[in-house]
Amino acid sequence: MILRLVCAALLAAGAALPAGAAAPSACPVPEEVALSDITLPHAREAVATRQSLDVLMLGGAATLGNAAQGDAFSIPARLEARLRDALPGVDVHVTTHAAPLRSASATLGDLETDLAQTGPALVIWSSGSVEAGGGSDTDDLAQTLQTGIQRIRAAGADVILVTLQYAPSIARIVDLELYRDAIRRVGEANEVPVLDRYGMMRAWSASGLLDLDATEPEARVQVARTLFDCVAAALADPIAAAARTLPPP
Amino acid sequence: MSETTVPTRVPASRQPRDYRLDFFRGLALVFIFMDHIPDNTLSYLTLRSFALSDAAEVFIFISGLTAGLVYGRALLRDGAVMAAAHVWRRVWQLYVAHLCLFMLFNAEVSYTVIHFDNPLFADELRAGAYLDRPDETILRVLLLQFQPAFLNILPLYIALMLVFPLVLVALRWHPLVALLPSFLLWGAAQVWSINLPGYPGDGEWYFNPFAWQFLFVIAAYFGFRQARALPPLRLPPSLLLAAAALAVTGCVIQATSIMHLLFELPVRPVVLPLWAVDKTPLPLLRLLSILSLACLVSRLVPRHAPCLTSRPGWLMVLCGQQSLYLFCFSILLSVLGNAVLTGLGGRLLVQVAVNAAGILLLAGLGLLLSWYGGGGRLPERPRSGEAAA
Repeated sequence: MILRLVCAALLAAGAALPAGAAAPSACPVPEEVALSDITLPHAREAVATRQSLDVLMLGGAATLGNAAQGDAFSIPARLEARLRDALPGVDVHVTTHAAPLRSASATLGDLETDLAQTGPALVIWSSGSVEAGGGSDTDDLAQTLQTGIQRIRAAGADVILVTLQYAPSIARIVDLELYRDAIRRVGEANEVPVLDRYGMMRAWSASGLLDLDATEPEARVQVARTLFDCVAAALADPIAAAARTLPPP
Repeated sequence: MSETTVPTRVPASRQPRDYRLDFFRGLALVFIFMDHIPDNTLSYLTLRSFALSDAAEVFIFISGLTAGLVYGRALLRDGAVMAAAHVWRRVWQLYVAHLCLFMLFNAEVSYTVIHFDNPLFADELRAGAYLDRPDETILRVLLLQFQPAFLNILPLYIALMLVFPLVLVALRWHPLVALLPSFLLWGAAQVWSINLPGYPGDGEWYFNPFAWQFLFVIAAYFGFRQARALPPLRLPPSLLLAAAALAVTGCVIQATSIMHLLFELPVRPVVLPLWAVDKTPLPLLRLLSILSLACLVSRLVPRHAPCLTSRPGWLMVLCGQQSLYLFCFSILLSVLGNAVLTGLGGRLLVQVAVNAAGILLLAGLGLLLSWYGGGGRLPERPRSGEAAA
């Protein structure tokens, strides 16, 4: 057990070293919202047996990343670069199935097809924004995610849920916390890891690291690029650690 | 919302006013103010961190109790028609207050959309989408179908009060005539998720009135007993024990998960699934939680507890007596407080200052309105000794 922990720590430390395309994340992830000690059996198996890792990212406009003005700066692109760096010799592919204003139930509707087409070992599902904006029922969102998790597991893949984005201006007029709480509860009830993007962004905003309500056009693009890379790093480090961890004897 | 405004010839109450109602409603208003500031660390100190129900349940329970008491007296004294008139006059005040709050909210949304127009949320979350269709939106607001974030408890209260005269008449007939249908309706809301339509899309009311009415009617039943000057119900010790057990369990569950979040305690908190604690349908756990708390408070806090008439307690009582104004003001203050927090960076010290300033302003308005209502004099604070007499 101790040996395993030490190994994991060494590997995690290794993952944080700058190498090639993936510089260390500009944003420290607060410990209470960080993904830690997650297990991803399917991803680990794919890495161990096939030296490949296919990741499917589901979500809306924030996953497409138009705010960063350039596909290379989106979360999926940054995640792919970071995972390739952290898992040398592993064939990493991140596929994105996202659309503007795509609700969780729309994502669920396409899920079977998406899974069949891409055959991922890991699905990363961002949700909650459209539902929060429309004020729809949180329990409906929870049930949609629950069904989706079952389908993803049945297809032989791991899941990570990602909570919705945060910005002070939006939090004032939309009850974002309600939907973040719903996603976290679904994750907890199904033992699915949840990356609390909302919590991270709130911490980065409060500490002055990122001005999420910037109004200058150039500053906005810069903030989006930094943000997406930081979210990708918060995903990549724990995923890489989980994919490399040796199974217990 | 204070029912103290029932006008005309209300004779002096047969028994002295129960300040516990005012006190806890005042406290609920303070909690609502704190809970409505997003990301407010100090809101971890409010009821929702220590129970499976929160200030919304307290508010609806006390409002139901007060409505049963005040309008129950009106029913017994002036008959059903006059009592209904009193209730519906109140409904009109609540409706106007809600529309006024919507205007303020609307101003904030417009400002956010125009000034920030945040690209991170473009096509991700259509905040202010309703501004594209003002014609339909106005209609939906007037019909109480469009309920923006943080503005959903007044529509519930309005809906509950609208049919309250029926509840009163049923209660006068026999408590079960009110309680049984109310229970069945709550059950139907649990099983079939029936709810009133919302807006936009296939949205529904955030506080499902078909579910929440049960809490209101239960509370009104206790209020109506007081209106009839019946002695308080004697609760068997086993029930009190069960209530205490439930309250303690709820407290442990909520508090450990908050502590875990704040201090990264090594214990893994019990996280209940959403359906068990979802606020919309007032599920059994939330209902039992607020009823247990009510049981315990009625038993453990005596009617003439000195803390109610101590200086800070009395301030809370005065706030509770002006609850409609203070409720609206608390929503406004949470919006302002949030703007200050955003501007100044939301550090803990700023948060404490914003919370303190908000509570002081709330108390200030409570005092001012009490002073105005008393014709330029504050109601005299009862000395703890004489109140007990």
